Amino acid sequence: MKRRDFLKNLTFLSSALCAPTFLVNSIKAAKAQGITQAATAAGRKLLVVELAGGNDGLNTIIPYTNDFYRAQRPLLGIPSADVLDIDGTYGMHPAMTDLRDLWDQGVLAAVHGVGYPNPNRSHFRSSDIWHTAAPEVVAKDGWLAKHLDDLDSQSTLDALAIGGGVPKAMISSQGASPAIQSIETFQLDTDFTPGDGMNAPYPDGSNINAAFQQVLSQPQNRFGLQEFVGRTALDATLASIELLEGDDSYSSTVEYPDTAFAENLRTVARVMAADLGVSVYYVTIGGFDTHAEQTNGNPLQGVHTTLLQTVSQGLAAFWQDMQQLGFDQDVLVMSFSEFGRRLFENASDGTDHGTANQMFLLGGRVIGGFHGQHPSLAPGDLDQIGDMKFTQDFRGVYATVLENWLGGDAAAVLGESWPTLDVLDV
Amino acid sequence: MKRLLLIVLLLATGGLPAAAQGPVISRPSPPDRASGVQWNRANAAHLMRRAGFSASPAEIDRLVDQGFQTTLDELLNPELVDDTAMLEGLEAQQYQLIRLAPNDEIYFADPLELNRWWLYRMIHSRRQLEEKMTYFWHDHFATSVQEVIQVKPSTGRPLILIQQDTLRLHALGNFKDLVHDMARDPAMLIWLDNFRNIREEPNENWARELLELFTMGVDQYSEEDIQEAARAFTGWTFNVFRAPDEEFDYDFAFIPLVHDDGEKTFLGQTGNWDGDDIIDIIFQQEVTAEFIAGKLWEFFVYPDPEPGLVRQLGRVFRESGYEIKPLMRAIFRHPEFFSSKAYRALMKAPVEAGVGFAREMGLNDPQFLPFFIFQMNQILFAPPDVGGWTSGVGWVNTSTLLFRYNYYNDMLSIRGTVPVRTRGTDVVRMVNGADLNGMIGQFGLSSEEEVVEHFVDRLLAGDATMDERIVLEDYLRRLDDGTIGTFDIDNPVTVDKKVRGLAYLVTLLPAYQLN
Repeated sequence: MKRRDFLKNLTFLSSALCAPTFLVNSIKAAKAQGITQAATAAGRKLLVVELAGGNDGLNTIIPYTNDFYRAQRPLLGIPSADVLDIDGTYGMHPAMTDLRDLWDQGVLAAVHGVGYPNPNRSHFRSSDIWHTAAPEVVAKDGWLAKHLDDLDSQSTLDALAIGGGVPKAMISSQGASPAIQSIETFQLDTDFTPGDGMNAPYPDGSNINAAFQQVLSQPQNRFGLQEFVGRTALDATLASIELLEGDDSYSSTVEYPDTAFAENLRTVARVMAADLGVSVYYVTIGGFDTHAEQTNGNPLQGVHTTLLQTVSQGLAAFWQDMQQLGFDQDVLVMSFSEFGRRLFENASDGTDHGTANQMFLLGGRVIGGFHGQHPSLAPGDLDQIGDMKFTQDFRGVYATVLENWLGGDAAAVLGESWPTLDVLDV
Repeated sequence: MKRLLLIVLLLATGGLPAAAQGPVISRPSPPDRASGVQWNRANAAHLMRRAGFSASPAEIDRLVDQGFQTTLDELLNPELVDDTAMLEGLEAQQYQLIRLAPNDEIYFADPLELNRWWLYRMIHSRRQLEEKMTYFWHDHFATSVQEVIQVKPSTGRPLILIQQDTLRLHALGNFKDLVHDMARDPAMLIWLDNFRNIREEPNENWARELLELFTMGVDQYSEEDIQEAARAFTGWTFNVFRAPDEEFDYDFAFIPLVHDDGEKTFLGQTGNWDGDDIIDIIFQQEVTAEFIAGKLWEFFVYPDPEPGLVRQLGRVFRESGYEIKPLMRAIFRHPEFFSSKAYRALMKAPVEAGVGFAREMGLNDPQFLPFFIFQMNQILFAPPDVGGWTSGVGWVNTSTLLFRYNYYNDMLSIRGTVPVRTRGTDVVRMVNGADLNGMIGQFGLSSEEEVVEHFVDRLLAGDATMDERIVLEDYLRRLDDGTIGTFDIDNPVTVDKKVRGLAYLVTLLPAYQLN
């Protein structure tokens, strides 16, 4: 349904007797928009990119001159001649030529050796730890959700996950951020169209929408999950209209690669252009759990190569779009993975769950280059499982993003103060 | 602009005439003599949403008539229920479960047709609990056709379906037997890499998930236990030693040559363990029975069960030697199963939403259903990872909720029965829409109250509030310009337009998204 119809539907409904509290809150949030903007330092945006499954960081930023790397990766090691050298010690995977270019432009940084104490090698537990920023206890609230809760912006659209479900990082006891697949599919159908291209014989969409909104305005009758579903339905119908309306303002000449990941990044750009006040975006790309056949026998080809190429080309297109849209100074991209992979390759042409990993930061205000110290690969320096020991707690990176980029209260979100890193020029 | 919209909405949606609030109480019925269960239509529908994939009004009537005990016996003893009609119907659908790779001689599994195949069973099987348990075990031993695409050459059956045959065989059988069989299951051997777990290079993927996800739960063992268990499962692989003319057929084999027969210490016990020993030691742990019983409770009743309840169910499970049937009987007969805490306390998974709607509305063919559950993040035979699907609240977010609504809309858009040819085949299947005129006629519905009552019963087992019923009745009276007119069932347009819209509105109600 078009926004105009939606408004038309609503006007003939009766007067406001008892305004539901969450609608009032939405109004308040809309009014508080200005304050929210100030708190997030004049419309700064964060895009979190999750590399799900445990990216093999040692074959992403490659310590290619390191003898231990060569010794433990006889089949999977990237030959020195093929590595995209950075500083004579480290280089990028050859599939990442686009990100290598961004590195030269000084807008891309990599933080070495990020992890947390007593690393957990379960995907689920370790993901939860990164999403809730709580390695010591099992926590329920996501770190981004806590930040958004702190801002007290109850706007329908202050954060958005794109391409899949809502990540735990964006869910708290106070609610979950919306998730959309694409702007086009994020609409409620109210016509009963019989088939391809045919019109609905007896359209009654305005009455259906009006009745539905009336039902959703009765939260006093709902508790628990029913209340949650009702609130989600209201968020969905409101956000779908706002997104469709706002999308008119996006135009771009950038050609994104033909991947789901790139398409999701393009949707991020479209929503950014719509200027709806979304400050946090989240995109996930999965498939990094390369226990077996990480390569196809040639270390330069195979699953991991394809994944890194998808990430590299997608982010490069997105960055170009950001520059065209004039957002390059307002956007920060942060990538993470729940863990890295073991130095020692297994017998299945793969690598098992590891620990420390690099995080990437991309943006016009990023101080490009390496930050922190790469963990030692010497056998005596590895933990008893044979994994690297982390050199930088991920909560330090989160604190940096929260405090120096989003203007949030990192200590409140993370439960304690963490020293920030000098990776942003703000 | 945004603020304007919100204000308009605020003004527009506030007021309704003062009306009775709260859920409608269903007609009281005498408690079932043996169990003390209030056996009425609402509770029968509750049982069928949990122990099955919902039911039609006629089926609910039948169950209420035959009583709680008979219904439970029927659910728990699928072998006593004749399901040949479903199997014949399944045969007639001609699902093309395997497909020839382009320009190749290899067959592989077709995920789309596999989904239709299983959804058809879910819609039509009279052994509803067996089907629901198979679905539970599939989520538990989550294996994906996206990696395990192979077909067993000698029978032409996809490995992923061979795994499901095993899951269905033990669905209400013995859990320990099921785990021993899963350790030898060809799809599992591939999925968790154990087929390449050899003495020289142990691969711990299967061992880790066996402990963390399949039996004990996370953090009940050490990293060393995983490594030792992985050693015990070395050499559990495929039969690679064959006669020259014998085809590789994905047969399980234990190959001593690559098995580590050294001493292992697992969960404090030291010995020359092999894989079966490891499983036996796992089943000596009390936590195993409790982990599985707790997970079943969360799936069938409500989340976060009380620790005392889990211990009690764990004892039932252990004392029966891990028999699933007595445990399920204890769960369905537990007073908490029919409590308000359990009622509408679970989010419908996309499969439950889609199949339930089909069963309630008499939609016989799941031809289009796979596309909708894909959109809502669920693909049968393809859970996202070995952890299975995110359950509960995770199924519904702003995006998947709109997909769910739009699925109901699309299904309600089908008038009559339409032939649909399956892409790339000559197979034509007949896809029917909801027979709204038939329902109106059969139940003699004429007033707006009767129509609302009927669809609130059919789809929601009566669980609409008085306020919601008022909105629904009001909707039936609205004219195109939004003003109030009269509802006239005899007007030729009324059924296609207003009754269809009404049925759709019932599916949009928050309670309808819950089981």
